[in-house]
Amino acid sequence: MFNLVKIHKSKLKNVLFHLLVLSSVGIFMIPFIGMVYISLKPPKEIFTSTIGKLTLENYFYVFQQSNFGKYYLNSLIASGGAVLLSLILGLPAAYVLTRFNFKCKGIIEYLFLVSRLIPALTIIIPLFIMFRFLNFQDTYQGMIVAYTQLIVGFLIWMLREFFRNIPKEIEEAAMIDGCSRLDVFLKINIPLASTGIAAASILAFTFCWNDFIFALILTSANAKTATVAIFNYMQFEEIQWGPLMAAGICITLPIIIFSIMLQKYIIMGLTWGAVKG
Amino acid sequence: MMRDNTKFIFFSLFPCLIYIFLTQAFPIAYGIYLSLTSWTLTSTGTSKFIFLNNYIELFYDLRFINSLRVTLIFFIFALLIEIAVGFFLAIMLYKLKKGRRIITALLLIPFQMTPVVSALGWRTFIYNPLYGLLNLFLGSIGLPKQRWLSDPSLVLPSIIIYDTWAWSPFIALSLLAGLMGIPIELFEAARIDGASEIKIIKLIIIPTLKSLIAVVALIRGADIIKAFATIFTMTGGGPGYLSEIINLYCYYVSFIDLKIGYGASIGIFSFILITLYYICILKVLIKGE
Repeated sequence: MFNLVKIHKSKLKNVLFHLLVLSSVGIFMIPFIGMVYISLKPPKEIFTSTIGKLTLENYFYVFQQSNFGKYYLNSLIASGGAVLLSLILGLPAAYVLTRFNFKCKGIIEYLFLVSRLIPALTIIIPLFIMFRFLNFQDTYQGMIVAYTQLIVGFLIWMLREFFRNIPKEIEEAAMIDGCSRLDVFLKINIPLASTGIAAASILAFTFCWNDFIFALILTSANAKTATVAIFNYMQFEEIQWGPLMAAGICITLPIIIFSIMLQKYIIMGLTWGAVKG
Repeated sequence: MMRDNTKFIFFSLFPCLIYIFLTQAFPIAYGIYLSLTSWTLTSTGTSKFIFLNNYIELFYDLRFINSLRVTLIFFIFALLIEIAVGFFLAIMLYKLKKGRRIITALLLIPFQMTPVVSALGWRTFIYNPLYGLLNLFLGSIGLPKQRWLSDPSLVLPSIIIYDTWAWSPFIALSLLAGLMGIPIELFEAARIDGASEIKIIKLIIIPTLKSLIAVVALIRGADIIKAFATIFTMTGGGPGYLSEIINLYCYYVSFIDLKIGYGASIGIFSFILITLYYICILKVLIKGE
């Protein structure tokens, strides 16, 4: 007791400060921890507040008894396909926009920036009609086309940041040695920027993976993605809590793991490079 | 050499520009055209060119006016509260000497989580009237339980609290990056001069972070106007139309009532809204520099 009084005032302040930090971070973690917890509870004990044994039953149910696996795969195909197509379209464009000066360059750069401002529904309504005409509704091609549109501007904007860091001298040396422009791009720039390319691609992937509205309107059964299919566990106010949470965790856990791995790129990505983390 | 580059530039940019044209520029132009027609997708629906009639009708459409009002309330409160909470969190993280990396990693979770999933989590785990955590808590301290998402006076605050939970960590981490850029000597000099914490915040931190706050407000503000999935998941616009933001209304008009022409005019309207907001913030940014 005597010691307690003796503790220096600043030390007490320090303890209080750390308590404050922990409790505020705790508040931000509660919803996620709660979801994980419910997903691990046995179905019959969902509404009991006792902490009983935990099980993976809900996860087995989601993937074995309902066809959530199919929709999960659909998400993977649509998002992965869109990232691939965006890289094919975006890598050369981003490289050219960093290395060369030419007419209209500024306008083209802003064109890619503007795509961040377009509300999804503004583009979905005409896209929906166009897809009906092209028979793209509820297909993988359709979803890949729509998602590529969503991320290609972002990808170019980010890739510029990474290409910019590659010194021009390396390229010049290679070109004196007889490399063509294409060689320089493929054999020097892409390998040197590979970490950045991977980071930007994964971020772009999460944008597609997390999407809801495009999949809601442009798919119905065949190409339906996981974020839409999860509503199957919640119909007419009858909620299957365990499977709902288990499916949710399956959707979101890979994204969370990627994000923590890419910690230093996230803020830069979400602000399109305006804030360097 | 020069010609070689021109060719390279052309073939590098051309596919991408064509793609943007086909999937963004053309759809927007087509959307503008649709917004000038009376097209409905029902079997008896006809399409007539009606000029600006859809846009005129918007101003007499009470449900549209309501959706504008809801969007505005959501926009103002969510943005201000998120910036305030984010600012507080950023200063707290800045002062934290140990374990900052782990804490910032954990704070990524709320905004990197799939929005539909986190909104479902809040709807069932936090806000559920019977088993939700908030009501269990209220019950345990003897307060009456609330219907968070179906009580007309609580629905918008509940959504704003969810949004604050999700996005104030993003603002915190952005501002933290800005704070780390301020030279430490500046703070030390101020402390030696006897400046209080509040004075340091007012005279050093806020002025240096001003343009960063504007950038973050731009990004968040545009995303709030674009919001759809989380509110769709939590309330679907209800009770009544009390949480029906502009995009939700646009969705119902276009894909439930199948009035494509009228829906397109709402879509174009919200694009104009975002562009105007963007221009406003850019003006603030340019003025500040």
